[in-house]
Amino acid sequence: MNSGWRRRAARIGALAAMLCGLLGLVLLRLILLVSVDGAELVKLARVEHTSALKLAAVRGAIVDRSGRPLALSAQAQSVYARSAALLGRTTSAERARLARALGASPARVEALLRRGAPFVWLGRQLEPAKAAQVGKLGLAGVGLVTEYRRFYPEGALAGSVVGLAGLDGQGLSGVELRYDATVRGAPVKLRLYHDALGHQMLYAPVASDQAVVGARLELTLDLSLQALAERELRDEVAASGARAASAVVLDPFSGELLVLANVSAQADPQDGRLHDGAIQDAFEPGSTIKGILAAIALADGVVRPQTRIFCEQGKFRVDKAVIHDEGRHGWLELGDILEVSSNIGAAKIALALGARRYYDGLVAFGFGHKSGIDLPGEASGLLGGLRQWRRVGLATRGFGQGLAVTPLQLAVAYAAVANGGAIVRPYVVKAAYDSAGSAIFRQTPQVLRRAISPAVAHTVNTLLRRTVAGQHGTAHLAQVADFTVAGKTGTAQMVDFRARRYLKGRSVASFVGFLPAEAPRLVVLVVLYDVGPGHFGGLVAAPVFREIAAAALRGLNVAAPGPRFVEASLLGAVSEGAGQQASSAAGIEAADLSARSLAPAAADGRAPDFAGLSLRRALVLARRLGVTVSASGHGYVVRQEPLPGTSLSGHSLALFLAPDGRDGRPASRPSKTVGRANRARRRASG
Amino acid sequence: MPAVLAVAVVAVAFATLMVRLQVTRGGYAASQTKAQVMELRQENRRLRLEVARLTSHARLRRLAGRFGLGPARAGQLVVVP
Repeated sequence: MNSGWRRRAARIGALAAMLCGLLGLVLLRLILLVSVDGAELVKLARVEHTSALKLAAVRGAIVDRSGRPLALSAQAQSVYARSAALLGRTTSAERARLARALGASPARVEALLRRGAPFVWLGRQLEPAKAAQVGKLGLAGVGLVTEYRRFYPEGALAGSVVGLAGLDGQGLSGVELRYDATVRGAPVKLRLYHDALGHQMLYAPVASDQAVVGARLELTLDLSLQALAERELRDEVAASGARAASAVVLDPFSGELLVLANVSAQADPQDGRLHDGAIQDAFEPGSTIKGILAAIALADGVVRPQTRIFCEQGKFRVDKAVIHDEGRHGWLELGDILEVSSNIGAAKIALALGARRYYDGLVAFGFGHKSGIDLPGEASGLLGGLRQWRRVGLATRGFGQGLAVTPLQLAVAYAAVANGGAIVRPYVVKAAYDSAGSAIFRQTPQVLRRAISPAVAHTVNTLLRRTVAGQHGTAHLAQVADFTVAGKTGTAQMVDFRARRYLKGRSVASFVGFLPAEAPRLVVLVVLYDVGPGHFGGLVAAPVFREIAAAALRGLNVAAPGPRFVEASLLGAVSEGAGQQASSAAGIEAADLSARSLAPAAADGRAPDFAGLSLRRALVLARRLGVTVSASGHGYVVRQEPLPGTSLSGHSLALFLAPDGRDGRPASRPSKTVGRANRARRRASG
Repeated sequence: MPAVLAVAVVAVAFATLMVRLQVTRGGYAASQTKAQVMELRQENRRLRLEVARLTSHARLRRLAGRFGLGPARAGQLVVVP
């Protein structure tokens, strides 16, 4: 028994010793694994359990000054193929199905695959439905990659300013190129942990994909105004047969561009995004330069507003060249020269000024070098070397021949006249914000230099009003109701740069002006390229100017200075603006408005009867009387204080309106004529 | 005493295991939520784009024209100084 127990104990002991030895070996191995191979093994485990995911950069949005999007990015899928695998493991029928899913011809897909390249893009940044169809086919050798695609929800609108981003998310033109580094964002690599089955696990903090979003750029452009300008230009291009047209609307004090529009007769959306004619094309400014010439000459002191210049009855010889005027003019003052746009007068001023001083003046106004706008590819224009500024060259440059300017340069120069003489740097990007909404930068207005003194600027401002409002002015069509416009027309011959001569019968028509002239808020420039004979700036560019300027003033809520109102324009506006349905009622109301005798009220200071009028018409009437109005409610006037016929003491008037034109209170009853107008209005609307 | 110690060791080991398990589960859940967040963000981008397309100037103008609406013309707006 004892010997049996001892044997068993010995076996147990041996087994225990063996187990201890094995355990010791395991421990030893563990120690070796940790201390010797540990670092290497950790590295291997990481490779095994982690994978990297590259998130493509998301370009930031580009929005207008009100936050309306002009460019956005969203995910899209691209389809690639590994040619050898696809050709080797699929049938031609399967590849034909793939081609149909991609919306391409089978022959084209086959040709792509058999080109010999191991990797081929079959479709970039496809619509989600198309990509899903391709994914469903499940073909070997075909893969999908998620990328970000740039979308322009407003289509071609402001395309030349916004520019274009390429398929690989790089800026190619416009703001997309100039601010590429800001708007581009950065791709982010995420490190994901996964288990043996490939399920993602989150042990380590994973970087947020917020970091990859590029900055949001806020432009200075006003989308509504830009749309209106482009539409007006398009209509005028079609009507005048012009090859292309540009428009610029600029805040003369800050340099903010509200509109930078380019329209071509042959609309090419791609080219429209790659080329910005308003800053990249130079043209001979023609007579529009005369306003700047006048400013330079006044600043120099070579002429004064009252200086009389003999305009040679329409024919003036300079060396071998003869300069002509449209009409036969004798002695003209500076204002007359601008009003009738006399080439001879301008040539004589330029000659009196001398080449060097005129040249320096133009340079001070920003011609001959870039304005510094934050857009790529800006042209400098062309002044030519001073050697070319001999007598004839100098004389013709006086009326804008022999030099080339960009539309933007011309707008900036007139902005200086409008703002009191300062050259401002124009810009289109107002601010940039990161994805959290914090401002990365904000543009601030920048005055580059002073071109003329405020006194000279004011004089030129006053003289330029005559072009639009003067009896012999060349730009009556640029008049904007209620506002005073200062500006200048231009009609220059088109230059054939290859043949180095002027094109017969083809010209560039332009108008540049600012308003309200008394307190300028906007500079508006319109240029139409390559128009036929008879299409003068005052005939084709000035009406476009008027439409754009009027809409811009409405958009900016600029009130007309003073209670001036032209009766005819008021009545025209009422019948035109009221729409067909309400035209009869509006007609009665307009007649009623004009029939109300203002003369006695104005003469003895009594308040007329406003009852039954819409607020708009009541305001028009009040403005004519020079009365300040406060209004409450909406609809039609039912009561007023002071009452009709009573004294308008203090020149203020309170109006109370009700939607149905009926007052719950018996204080004031509408007059018979107003009652008729209201009944007619109800019939028309009912 | 050794028995108590052994029980304590086993209990601590078990608790550690449970905690570890919870962390793993939490990791999976967090990972899925993260993926959802990214998906929703993409969806948000797509929807923003859709809104921008639907409210584009040209489209609104076309639609407004059908109802006889358009921008205010000269004389329809009176700006009070």
